[in-house]
Amino acid sequence: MEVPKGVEHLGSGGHYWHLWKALYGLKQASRQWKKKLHDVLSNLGLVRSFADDCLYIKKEKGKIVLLVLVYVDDMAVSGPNGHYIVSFKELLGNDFEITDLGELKFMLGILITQDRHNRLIYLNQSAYISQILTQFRLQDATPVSTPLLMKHNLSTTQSPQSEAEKQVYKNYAGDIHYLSLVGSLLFATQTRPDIQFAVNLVAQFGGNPGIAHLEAAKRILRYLKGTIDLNLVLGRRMKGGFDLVGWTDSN
Amino acid sequence: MNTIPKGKKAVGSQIVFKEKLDKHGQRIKFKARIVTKGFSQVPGEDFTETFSSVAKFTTLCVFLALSAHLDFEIHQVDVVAAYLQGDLDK
Repeated sequence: MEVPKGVEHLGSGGHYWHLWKALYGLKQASRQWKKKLHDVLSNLGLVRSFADDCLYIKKEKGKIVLLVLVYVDDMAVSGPNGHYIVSFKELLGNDFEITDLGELKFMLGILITQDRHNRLIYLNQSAYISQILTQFRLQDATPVSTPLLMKHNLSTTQSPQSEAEKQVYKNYAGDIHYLSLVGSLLFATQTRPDIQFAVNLVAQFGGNPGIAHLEAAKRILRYLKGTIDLNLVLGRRMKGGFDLVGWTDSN
Repeated sequence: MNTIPKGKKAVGSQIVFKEKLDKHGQRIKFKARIVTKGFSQVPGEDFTETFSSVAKFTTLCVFLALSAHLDFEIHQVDVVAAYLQGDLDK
């Protein structure tokens, strides 16, 4: 590596630094980190999940005692016994400098609330939704009660067909980028299955959006504004346990 | 510190300065970090694979649902300067 400006007295004039450890900016930094963490977690008796490299599981006598979910440098640790979690954090602290954030509150910008009495977990993205409302200047818009209107009947016939029509759309949209709006909505679908269909529909016109499509996408945001406090609830129902229920309308 | 082996190129570097502000916009500390200009690295030559440990959202959901169902305690830990921990092979 070249010697950075300002520290030439530590070596310059045809001299370079030999890197022993990864640095920010190196292409291999993220992979080297993943390897290192894998070694450390394996030494602590955790086994990498078959389904996802970022999930580690520790079992004792056939029972799960520790689950670790890795998100680059962020980890969520769970287990039936607080004692295991505490000792895991201590052991991890021997290898890395860590910040103990206590009980899980935020991950990937999602607010996580645990209701242990009812064995439920609530996921909420209201902070993110407020942020995109402001970003697309809809913070003062009137909320609506549905994400999509039947009568809009979106199709490519509403897309601009000529250069002149494209210009009309551009003037109308101003500095709002359709794809960026759709992308923001797509991120919100993580905890909002109720807008998944609508977002999927508006995303189909990303290549050549028209005014009708932009209005439909903005409508989804206005719908989110009115329903900002909705949570995605994970866990078991009080009665009936962990059933998966499916419906179909075919005869 | 080293002289460079023949036929190899040194990757550029830079010091990045950052002001850390508190919630009132007051400066609380200065940060400096040496970074490399990784964009000049060539795949296959300077490194072979890139990968980032990013969990799938579905995995997060399963993790949380399972934890809720089994009444697990959930904690969060953050590793400081994670990318500085990795060892280089070459």
